[in-house]
Amino acid sequence: MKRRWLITLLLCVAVLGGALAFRLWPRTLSPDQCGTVYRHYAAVEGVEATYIKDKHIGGDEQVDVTLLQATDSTSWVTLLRDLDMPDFDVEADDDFFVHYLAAKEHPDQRVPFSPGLCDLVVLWPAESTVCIFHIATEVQYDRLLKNQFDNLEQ
Amino acid sequence: MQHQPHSTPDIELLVARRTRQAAEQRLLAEVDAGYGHRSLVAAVRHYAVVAVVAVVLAAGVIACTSVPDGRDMTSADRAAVLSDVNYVIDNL
Repeated sequence: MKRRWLITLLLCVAVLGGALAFRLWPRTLSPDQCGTVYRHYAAVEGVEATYIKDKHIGGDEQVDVTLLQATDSTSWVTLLRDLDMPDFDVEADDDFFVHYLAAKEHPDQRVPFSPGLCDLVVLWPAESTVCIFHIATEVQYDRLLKNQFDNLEQ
Repeated sequence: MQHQPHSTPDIELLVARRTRQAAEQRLLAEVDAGYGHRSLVAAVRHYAVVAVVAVVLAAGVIACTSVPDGRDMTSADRAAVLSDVNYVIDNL
């Protein structure tokens, strides 16, 4: 009888540990779980591409994010050209950002806001970085720009 | 000393004793089998209850634990990437 309860205890600990591990353990996404922009730039030399799934952006909101980081100035210029953007001064201020709405998975095509059909593209020249938020709802868009308004109010 | 053959009452006594022993052994075997069956049923019932409780616990843990930022991403350098994205979000 005592042995049965020992097995029971071990079983419960294993189940709880498994559930926690399932929830917290970092997982590396496979390319087919990522967007087309990531898949394109993952194969481009001079650009470090990262895809993040369900990034918290405040409140209960989560968005998928593609981060593209040029490793040298030539790649940065090429990246900007791909996005149909003019060149930026790489010595730009750390807090200088440019953002616009683009068609989903097409950061070179500017579009007006349309829930589920557009991405928020943010250029960060100081770090030669492009951050693409794959927004699906208006709430997510508002949440991302909320900090901008908060910063203006200060 | 000459061996005396068993008398009839002796043989009857012996047969009766053997019959009683066989009946006792049969009864003991049946009791053992019954106990084993009850024990198996109790164990199955116990582990079925434990399995249900474990599933409920696991579901509770999954529901109450929020997924950490950057759990699912392609980069191995999670901290640096998250730091950059958080900076963008905070300073947009």
